[in-house]
Amino acid sequence: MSFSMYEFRDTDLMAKLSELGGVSSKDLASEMGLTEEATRAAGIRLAWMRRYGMTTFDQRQRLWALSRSGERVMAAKRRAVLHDLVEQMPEGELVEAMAYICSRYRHGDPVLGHMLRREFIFGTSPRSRVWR
Amino acid sequence: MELERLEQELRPMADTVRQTLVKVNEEIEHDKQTLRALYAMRSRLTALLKQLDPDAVPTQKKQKGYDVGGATYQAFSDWLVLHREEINQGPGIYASGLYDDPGFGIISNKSQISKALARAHSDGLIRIDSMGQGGRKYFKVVA
Repeated sequence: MSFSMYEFRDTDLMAKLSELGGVSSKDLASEMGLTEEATRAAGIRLAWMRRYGMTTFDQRQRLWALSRSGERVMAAKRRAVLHDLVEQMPEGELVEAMAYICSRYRHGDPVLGHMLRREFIFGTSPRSRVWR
Repeated sequence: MELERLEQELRPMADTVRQTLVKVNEEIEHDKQTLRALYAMRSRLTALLKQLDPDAVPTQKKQKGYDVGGATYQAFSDWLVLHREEINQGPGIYASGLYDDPGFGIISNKSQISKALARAHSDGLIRIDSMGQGGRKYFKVVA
């Protein structure tokens, strides 16, 4: 079992971390209904997310948690509203919205930039589960 | 002095390496130009071949995407929002569970339910909460 970014969005795992607070890789895998074999995969994914600023790791207690940037992203509560807003946008405006998002990617918070890039990959890569 | 002598001995080596590097860069540039010309020729030949023998050039396979769209997906999204509390209090929803649920009637085709869930996940309406047997994914509704 892999925790690859083509199977799980970053926000899937971040929501779990938000629920559980500090958690070990083994416990996260278990909470997600996976066997102990998935512990290593969970740790690898969380390490990559840490590299991109979404998670933190307490070396002493060996626990993973959301970073401050990660907490800010998860605190956003306007998904349903945004979904409706974007759904109603004409195509031309969608392209402009994408240009604006790309600008935020280039000039905004680096953690946000990584998350935007990875969301795009999840949503468009031929390897992603969205195509299955 | 030992260091000065050493520098004098090493300087010609650096010059040799530098000159070789320049030559390698020139070759790379030359090969890039050749490659660009070959790409352009390939495009023209492919277009010509397509006109002469349409079957000879395989068309790019269309990516499988979402089969659920429009009104059905909207109804599904609305249903998710409406039942958010109930869904999130339990273990979450999964494709075959919705298919077997007589109270769900929005989509009656199991494959379409899976695709609707995949699209809702990609849209950020739902998240993967846990996994079950056989790779089953349990989803919960995002706030």
